Amino acid sequence: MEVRIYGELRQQCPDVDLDVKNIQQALAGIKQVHGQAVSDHLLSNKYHYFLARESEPNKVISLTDGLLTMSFDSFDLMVIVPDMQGDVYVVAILGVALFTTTSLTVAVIVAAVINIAIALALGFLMQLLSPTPEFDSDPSEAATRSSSSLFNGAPNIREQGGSVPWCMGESNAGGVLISAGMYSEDV
Amino acid sequence: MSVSRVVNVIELNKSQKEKINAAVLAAFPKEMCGVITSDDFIQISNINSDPENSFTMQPKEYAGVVERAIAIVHSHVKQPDTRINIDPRTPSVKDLNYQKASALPWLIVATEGLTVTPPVQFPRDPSSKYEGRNFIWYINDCFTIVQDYYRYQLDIILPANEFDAFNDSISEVIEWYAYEHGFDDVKKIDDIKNGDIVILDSLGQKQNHLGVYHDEKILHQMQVSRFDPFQNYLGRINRILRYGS
Repeated sequence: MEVRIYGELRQQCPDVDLDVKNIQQALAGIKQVHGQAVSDHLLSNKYHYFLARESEPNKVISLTDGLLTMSFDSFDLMVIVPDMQGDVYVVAILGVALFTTTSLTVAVIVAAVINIAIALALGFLMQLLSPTPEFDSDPSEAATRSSSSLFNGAPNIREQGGSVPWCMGESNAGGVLISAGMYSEDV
Repeated sequence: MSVSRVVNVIELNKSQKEKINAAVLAAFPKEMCGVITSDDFIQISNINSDPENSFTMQPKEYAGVVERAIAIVHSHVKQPDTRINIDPRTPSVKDLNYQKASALPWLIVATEGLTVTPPVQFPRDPSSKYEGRNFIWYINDCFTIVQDYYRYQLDIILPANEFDAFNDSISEVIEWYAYEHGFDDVKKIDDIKNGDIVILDSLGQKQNHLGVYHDEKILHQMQVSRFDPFQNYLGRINRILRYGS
């Protein structure tokens, strides 16, 4: 039987004719002809073993573990091929990228929730510090009942002593009048 | 048809290209695999359990055609990469290892389901055309261009550099390679001469890029390989290595 080994061993292992009856004898023969290193390489790496006939080398029959002692009588060719596999490089990268993206998403959501919570807490605190005056009726009517020194008659919605936002700096947009001093003529 | 050069470069005929492309598109989104014979292409079943990212040839089908095989071809499915622009035909470490086990040249094509890229081959074909190469890890990267410069300018064959581009520390790979293959440090920058390897800091990382000094220029592989004025890189030079000094 002719034994053909393909793959990286092909250069150092030319085809050999072995007088063998089963795969056990074939492996022993390969070890004898090609040496211990080749035998070890075959056993420690994934190779597939097939039987065929020289006349029809394309039609191969798998030699599986269950056929270790199967007779080779009707075959004259043994084909040994390495396993052929590959994958795409991005598997690892995608893992990292997905992990990063997921972590980032979670981080953004957590940050957003924390920000909302802080805003609510500050808002609540501001409300506590800035109690709105109580009116018996509509504040605009209240403004008409009591004298107001506010320019243009806008109702004062902050009670005396309450905090009033104080803006400083330059504004490039139209603002809302929040306070106005008295004109010197009024004094 | 194959033409003999430093490596056996596989040149596909029109029929082979058409058959491969049709098989790749039909298999999408799974990877396609097959063997190239001297005048044909034979598709082989991909029996991998994760066929969108990997392939395993059906062993019996492969054994039936291995006698006629002159190369292995498989496809990569283009995937969105959120980090950097990596050529989808880039071989994985597994591809590199199994290519060695096969003792045949491998071709990789890539598809997004509508078109198929031209193949890249590895082992790569060394070339003295230094400029204008597009970056592909292991095929046109910053080490392979130095390898080619040494081969064609200095008649020195630098051994292959085996590393995992996506998981290994490039600075450690450079450190190990320099030590293993007889490179010594050039202490003074003024002593630099043609053929010295310049180790550069790149993208904010230490020692993760290299090029070769040539006539006050540096030849290196960025996204596209080119000669740049050496002056422009003075602030990024980390080490200068000289072969066999």
